Parts: sequence; C-alpha cells; structure tokens
Amino acid sequence: MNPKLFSLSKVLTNVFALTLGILTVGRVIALENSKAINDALGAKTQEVVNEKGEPVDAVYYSSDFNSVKEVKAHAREVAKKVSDEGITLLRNENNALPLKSGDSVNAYSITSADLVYSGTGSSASSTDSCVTLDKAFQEAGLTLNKDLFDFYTEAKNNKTYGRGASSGIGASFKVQEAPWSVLPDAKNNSAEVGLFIVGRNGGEGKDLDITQGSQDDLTKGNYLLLSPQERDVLSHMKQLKDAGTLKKIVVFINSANTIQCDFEEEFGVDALLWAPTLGEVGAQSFADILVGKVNPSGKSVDTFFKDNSLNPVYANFGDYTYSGTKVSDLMISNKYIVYQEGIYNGYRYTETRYEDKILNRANVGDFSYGDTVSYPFGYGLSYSTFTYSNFEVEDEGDDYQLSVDVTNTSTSKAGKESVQFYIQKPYTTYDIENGIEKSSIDLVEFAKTRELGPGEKQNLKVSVKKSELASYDANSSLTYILDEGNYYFTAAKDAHSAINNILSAKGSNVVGQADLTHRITVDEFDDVSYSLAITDQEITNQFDDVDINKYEFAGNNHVTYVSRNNWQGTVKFGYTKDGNALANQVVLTGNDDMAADADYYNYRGMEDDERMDFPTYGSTETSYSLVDMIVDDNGDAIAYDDSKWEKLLDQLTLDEQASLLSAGLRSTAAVASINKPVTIDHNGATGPMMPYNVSENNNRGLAVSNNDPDKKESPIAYPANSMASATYNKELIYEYGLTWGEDCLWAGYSGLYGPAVNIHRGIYGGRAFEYYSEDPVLSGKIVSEVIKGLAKKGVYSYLKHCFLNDQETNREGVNTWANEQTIREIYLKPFQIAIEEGKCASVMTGFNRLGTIWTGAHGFIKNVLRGEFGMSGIAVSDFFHKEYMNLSAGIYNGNDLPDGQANKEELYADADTYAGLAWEMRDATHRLLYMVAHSNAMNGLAEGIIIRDVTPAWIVLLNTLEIVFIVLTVLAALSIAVTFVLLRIKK
Amino acid sequence: MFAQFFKNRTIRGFYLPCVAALLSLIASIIYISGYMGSSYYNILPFLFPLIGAVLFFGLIFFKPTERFAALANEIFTFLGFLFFIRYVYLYLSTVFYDGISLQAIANISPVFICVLLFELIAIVLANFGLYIAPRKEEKEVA
Repeated sequence: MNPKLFSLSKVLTNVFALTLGILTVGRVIALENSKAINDALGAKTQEVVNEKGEPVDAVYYSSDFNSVKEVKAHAREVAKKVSDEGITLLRNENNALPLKSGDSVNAYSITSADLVYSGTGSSASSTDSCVTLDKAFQEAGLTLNKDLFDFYTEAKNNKTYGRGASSGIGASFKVQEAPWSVLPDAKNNSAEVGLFIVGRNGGEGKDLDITQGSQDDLTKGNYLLLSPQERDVLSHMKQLKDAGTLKKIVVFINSANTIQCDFEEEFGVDALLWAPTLGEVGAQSFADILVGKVNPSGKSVDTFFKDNSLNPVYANFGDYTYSGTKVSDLMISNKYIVYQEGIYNGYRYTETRYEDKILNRANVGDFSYGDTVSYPFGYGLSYSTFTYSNFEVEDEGDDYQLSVDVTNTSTSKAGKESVQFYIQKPYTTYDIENGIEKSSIDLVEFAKTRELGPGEKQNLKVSVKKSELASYDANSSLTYILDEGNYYFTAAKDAHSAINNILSAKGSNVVGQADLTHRITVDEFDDVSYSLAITDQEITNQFDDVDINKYEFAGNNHVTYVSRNNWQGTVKFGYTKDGNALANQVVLTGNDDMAADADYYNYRGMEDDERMDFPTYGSTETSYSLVDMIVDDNGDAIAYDDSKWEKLLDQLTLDEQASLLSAGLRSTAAVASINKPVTIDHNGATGPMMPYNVSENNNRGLAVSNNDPDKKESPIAYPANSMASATYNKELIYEYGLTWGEDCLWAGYSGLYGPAVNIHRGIYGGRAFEYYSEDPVLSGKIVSEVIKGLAKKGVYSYLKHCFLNDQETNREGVNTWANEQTIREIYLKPFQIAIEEGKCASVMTGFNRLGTIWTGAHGFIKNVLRGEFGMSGIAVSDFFHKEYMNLSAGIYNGNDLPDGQANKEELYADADTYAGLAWEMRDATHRLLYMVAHSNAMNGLAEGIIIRDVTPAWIVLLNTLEIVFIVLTVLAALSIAVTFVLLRIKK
Repeated sequence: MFAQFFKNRTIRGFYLPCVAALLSLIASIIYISGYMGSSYYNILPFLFPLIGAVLFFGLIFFKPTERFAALANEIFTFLGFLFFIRYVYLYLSTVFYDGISLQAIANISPVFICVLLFELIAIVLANFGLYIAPRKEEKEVA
C-alpha cells in the first residue's frame, strides 16, 4: 500500500470536511435570509394553480388604465398639478414676477444644471427622466443663457463643481458652488433676470451639518446657510443688477430642508420661491410659475427662520451619550435625545413667544420676531390678491362648522387660495400649576378654493371636532382636559396673520383682522368630556416611561421643559449665530436600572403573562382559504370579529404562524395551506419607486401579468412629500394617492412602506423630504388623503416611522425622551389623524427607542394605536436589527412583523413555552391575514385557485451540494481507515 | 519529566497546534465576555473551542493519544468558528446597514475582529498537526 495514498486520503477528508462545514453553515444562513436572496435572484417561491382550468373573474381592485405608458402619463399630469400648487412664492417685490414669455434668464449656480429631484436613501427615486431646467424654460418660452448653462452642465458632468450630495444611505452633503471667478464671460450678459438656485439635498442615515458656521464649500459648514461661494456669486449678481445688466434677481430655494433666509435684502433679491425635491415634472411647474402660466398657490409647511440658531430645538438635536452607567451596548442604544422644547416646535414657538412679547407676559425675555422669522408657517404669495370676510362659527353638536368667504380681488389673474383655520386655547393658572403648555395658535383645519376668477368669491366650510379644544394633562387629570376661559377660532392666510387676528380681537395694536376671529367661552373646567377615545377606551397616560421626569428608573435625571410661563429661564439654544456649539443639551446619566430596562431579554410582560392554555393549531374541522374570508354567501363583507376567522386561524399550525410572522422583508409570506399569496410590500415613502416588474418572480402586478412592453420601467419620480402638503389641497392629494395606488397595482405592490409622517423637528433632519411638515395637523390630514387614495386601489399603507424618529443621528436605538403632552399633541398626532380619519391600517415602527424600550416592544401599539385610535392592521418594524429588536417581545407588545427575516426557531420556541405569546401571535396573524384579504393581493384568487409553494433552484442546488459533500467526506474518511489498515497489514 | 515531554517535539506538529489551541481558547473567552447578554450570544461558539483546547492538551500529554490531539483541536476549533459565524453574522448587517464605508469598517467591534482572526489563525495552525507528527521519530540505534 502506498503511504502517499494515505496522505492523500487525509488531505481530501480535510478539504471535504471543511467545505462541508462551511457549506452547512452557509446554507443555514442562506435559508435564514432566503427572502432577500429570492428577491435578489428573482426566484419564484409560489405558483398559482387553477385547479378547475376555467377562467376566473376575480378582480377586487382594478386599474383605470390599460398600460404602463398610460399610468405614467397620468402620474405626470397629477404630479404636475401638485407641483403647480406646491411651489411657494415667498417674496415678490414690485411684482417682479411673473416674467414675460421670451424674457432672458441668466441662471447661476451649479444646481441650475443639477436640480434636486429626489432625496437619497431608501426613498430615492430614479431621476433619469426628470425634466431639466433648460427644457422646462424652453417649453415656458424663457430664453436661458446657454453659455452659462453649458458651463454648469460641464462642471456637473466633470464633477468640477457639484451639489455634493452623494447617493445612498448615509450620503454626505456638501456645498460645492462654482465661484464667480471661474464662470464664463457670459455671466456678464445682460438679461431680464438673474436666477440663483440654492440646491440642498438630504436623505436617510444622516442629518445635515448644523454645528459649524458657513466656512467651507467643500468639507464642512452649516449646510442650510448660504456658503461663501454662493454669497460671492450673489454679490456679483447684485453688482450686475446695480449696473443695470440684470433687471431682477430671483432666488429659487430647491430644498426640502428650508434655507436660513437672511440674505434677500443684502443681495437685492426681488423674488424668492421655494420648492422641495421636484420629482420628474416639478421643473415645468417652476418655469410655468415664473412666466405666470400657473398662478402660485403653495404655502410654506415650515417656519423659515431668519436665524436658525434662534430655534430652541437645536439645543437638543444630534449626538448625546449617557454619562455614568452604560444603558446598553446594543447598537446605538447608549445614546439619547430629549425633546426639551416640548410642544414649542416651529411656529408654536415663534408665534407663542411673539404673542407673549406683545402682551408683555412676565419672563418673556429677549425676543424679536423680526430677527427670528423670515416667513411664517403657512405663508405664500399669489399673483392674485385675496380677501377673507364673513367668518362664522356654528356649533353643530360634536363639531364646530367654520366658514369664510374668500374673494379674488385682483383685476386680471385667476388663482387659488388656501385658508388656514387656527385655534387659540387659554393658558390658565391650572396649566401653569400642572405643567400644561399652550401654543398661542394651533392649526386645526385648512381648505383651498377652486380657481377663482378676478372678483369671484367662494365660501369655504370646514368642520372642526370639539375635541380640538382639549389639551392633554399628563400631570393631574391624566387625560384630555378643557380649560375654562376664552377660546378663539380664526381664519388666516398664515400662522402669523392668525395670531395677529386674535391679538387684534383682544385689543392689541397689531395689523390683524379681528373680524376673522370667533370667541368661545368655556365656563367650567372639564376633564371628562374628552377622556374617551373613539374606540370608547379610556384615555390616560401611556408614556410615563418616555418622560424622564416620570420614568420610574430615572434616578436623579430631570429635565426642565420649555414653558411659556418662563421663556427666558427655559429656552436654550444649541449654538451661537457664528456657529459655535453651546453645551445646552439636557445631560442624562445612565444607571443600572435603566440598563436592565433596556435589556434585549426584557420581554415586557410576556414571561409574567398568566394565560396557560394554548390556541388550537392545525385543526382539520374546516378548510377555509383566505379568499373565503372576504365576503359571506350573501356577498356581505366578513367582519374582523366573525367566528369564521377563528376557524381559519385554528387551521394554522404554530410553524406556519412562526414562518409568517418572522419573515417580512418588504413582503408578507405565502401560507399555502390557506392559499394566502405572498405579497410585495415595498419601499416608497415619497411614492412607489421600484420597477413595474419588481414582482415578476411571483407573477404579481398588472405590468407582469399583461406582459406590458414597458414593465421594466420605474414609476415617475414624485416630488417630496412637503410639496404635497404645501398645496393645502386635500382633493388634489387624494387624486395623488390614487396615482400612487395605480403604480402599486401595476407593479404588484399590495403594501407600501410609506408614506412617512414624522415631524420636521427643526429642519436639519436628513429625511425632511419624506416628511410633510412641522405641523401635525397639516401632516396628518394631507397624508390621510394619500392613504385613502392608495386604499382605493387595494394598497395598505405602512405609515412610518412611528414615532419620535425625527432625526437620523443615532437613529438605530437612540433613546428618545419627551413628555406625554408633546407626544400626543405633536409627534403622535399625525399618526392619530391618519388612523382615525384616513383609516390607515398599518404602521412601521421607528428604529429608535421610546425611553429605553425599542418602539416595537413598547406597549403603545396595543394601548394607543389600536386601543385608542382603532388601528386595524399590523405594525412592521423598520429594517430588523436583531441586535436590539427582540421579535418575541415585539410581537407580544404589538409589533407584528419584522422588516427582515428574524429567527423563526426562536419565535417558535418562545411561543411553544409562553401561551401569552402564542395568543398574541394568533392575533398578529389574524390582523395580517385580514389586511391582506382586503387588499389587491387577492386579485386573481377565487374558489378553485390554489397556491403552491415552490422551492427555488438555488435551494435545490445548496441541498444537493451538501449531500454530495457529505458523501465525499464519508468516502474520503473511509479511505483513510482502509489505507490505514492496509498499511498496518503491510508493516 | 518536563524536559522529557518537550524532547523531540516538532515545531509544525506540536508547537503550532499548541498555539492554535491557546488561540481558540482565548477566542472563546473573548467571545463570551464580549457577547454574553446580547442577541448574538450562544454557548456553542464558546463551548466547542474550549472542548477542543481541553482535549488537545489532554491527548497530547500521553504518547498513545498524542496523534489524535491535533485532530480533536481542529474539529472543535472549526465547529466553534462555524457556530461563531452562525450566531454573529447579522452583526455585519448592522455595521454596514448605512452602506460600506471606511467609517463603517473602522466601527467594526474589536471583539468581533479578535474572535474572527484568532479562530481563523487557530484553524490554519491546527491544520499542520493533522499532517505532521508531534514529535520526531526516534531513530532506532543499531
């Protein structure tokens, strides 16, 4: 026997065994992530089989169009209307606008050749087909300075200069404007208009730089101030204007993150317009507004600060680490953020302190409205002028009906006008004693006129629930209260006009219209009338563990919230005007109890649940399919609590439920035994953006089933969501939601990971383009219309990111602290409106923690979203980070599904041990199935149509390889044994 | 006796596998101290290298069993490594969630890097022991 053969056997055994080991673990990991791999490979996981072989007519949600081309054409039309009504005219000195057809324009700034069409990150749209400025100007009849535009185009293409925003999650944002000295001679050409475009971008994973002054175009600097190079260009433009070379200077802010507006006078700006990311056709709207083809009617959705450093939000915005004991090692969980400003975000701060200054309230401190605000919330000009009259308020039981006449007083221009309705609640001694804050005005409703011709009048009516008069008292009554005192309603053009109207009514000497106010006097304090939710659940504190002043493990930590009773003693700023950071943040110290509370294995009640009996699994008593759960024999919808559902749930095994609830990466899984199809629930906070054939592997979507020739195309790039809110037009936004729904139908989406309705807490948040406004009512009511439109096409929305996920810094695990009044009245409110009014079925929970608890494992989903607001669908996590998101704790506390693939075996084992979790899983399964049964996922499914699981080829390959290597390893090991024996015999 | 034990020991067949056993032992201790209490913790990535090291030093001590020491070490170190990957791989998705960048790479936990490196080196070093005898063959004197 040759000894070399023995050595060869050893080598082969070693190689085969090592390969087998790697293959085995690789296979386990691959199977755990099979959803992502299937998506990447386009692998088929189910097939729909028509057992009867007869054609079925089972279309529950249908399209109004016949092709992708038609869908996109319609989408462009609607998006154009949204941009027409969203782009906001902030300044128009001496009627500088509109321009005349044929007017010449010198467009300065790199952004002129690189307009901001979409933000970055998971909601970034394909911008390949977006209309460029030169094309838009050509269509509008404006003459663009070609040499200048070509210079910028070349600079952009060569990356000599650029907007500096890289793509992807966590993109870096820099200003890289071309200085005046490098511009071609054509910069000095005479023109009617010098147009300067300030472009800024933002996106997921990174907030904008705030802490340094405007120092450097390339590497650092406060991103929302004009950079030195931009100021340089603007100053030269002013010189040209002074010399008569340029007749007017127009500045266009193309940024969802509003720019600090402190430059208009300095650079002689005649007109100023704002638009967030433009989407595919926004540039056309911009050009049409410039030439007056479209009369602007957009209004601002955020307060434009004259000096961003005077916004108190930024004292606590960014990166803060607990001192003392580490609260958690899990991802970024040892970081925190405190909403110290309370309810005073945006106009609630500026207009409230303004009123207190006017009324000389004690401790109002040093405050100048003129130095703080450039353009208030809700502000926007038109080429027409509008007057309001006949403001009336009628008591209609549970609601007030507010009405006002709006007249277009211009002589030549037809236009639309958005009217905002605000309320002022009294700030009483009771409030001061119990830590309740009152903004001087709160937006409660809004409405937009049709296009009114010159001299034409329209009466606008809105309903406001009486509950809007109530405020949340977290410290004494522990529910909503109605203070005694005077309440004022007003109809106004913007937030500042609103408070001035009310001040006028109170007798102050300000420019306001007292006749546009209505006073209601409440004689008696009331803490009963608004203490019941629409579900009849009693409303009481649910967020004591999110308020560091109430948290049971807070130790010595304490925060003094901003109070209008003591502005000068409680308002803190984050940095000086020069950009120097001020250490005014709330300092929190960690302790062992907080660390224990934040622990991954804190199941938040699951282990103490006293339920002992387990649900029924695998019943064969019935054999319902999901399609049987839509309507009964009479054609009536089957209710959520119908006993038929219980029977269907009894049919499912624990394994099936664990499979369904542990895998949700932009989808819900198929359950073949009940013919539940896989669904595609994809990203799209600012509209669907995956190609129409995204669901090709599972044959979903009209583009695939019709084999549409354009199925590989993507939906159009939609503008930022703040463009939609800036329209203040609910009817239009419902139509907009329908177009998103059409995209979903054609691309095979049944669920949309969006819209996103977090609050613009300040304006440096990276995802501002995904969110609607600083105001929760505007956000909630606009997003409700989008959701209604989507629902009409059978698409369920996962409204995200619920909640207090208002900054990107440390988002994955940051501990967020805020008091309950702030939570209920500001940050949770848009979700409440969307669920109660928009019938939003589902949410996506935030990456952050509420206090120390991951949002998904906090009880608010059960107690508040479902218990108080009546949410019927499911809660999906944000991208599932196993490191700090405990799936069992999540499901037990209301987070039904991970956005990712979690460990099914762990969930199965926990549910096999804890009956409480098993029941919660059954409820989660029920909600998920009910949601899918009432969606477009059921299109094509009827009696006789069955769904079969398909094993993708890559899994077959892995299984085969594993078997091959097992055999090879065993054979090689046997050969060792044989050669060893033979060698021994030979010796 | 001590000197006798080390007499005729080969570098690749004895000393390198010794280093491998020690490294895998250290890696398992780093793993348990770094990951205990987290969702990436499981006893197996700790237990297997520990068993491997104990077996190695137990078997290598006796001449009749010393030839199996490296094999035992290799098997258990490798299993420990596989289970480490199995339980910790998702950590990488959290590190690189916001994209692959130098900053993200710099943020990889030293615990992860140490365990990974030590176990990989241990597997390679332990491999030598599979092919090289732990001691030189004593030449028979005629």
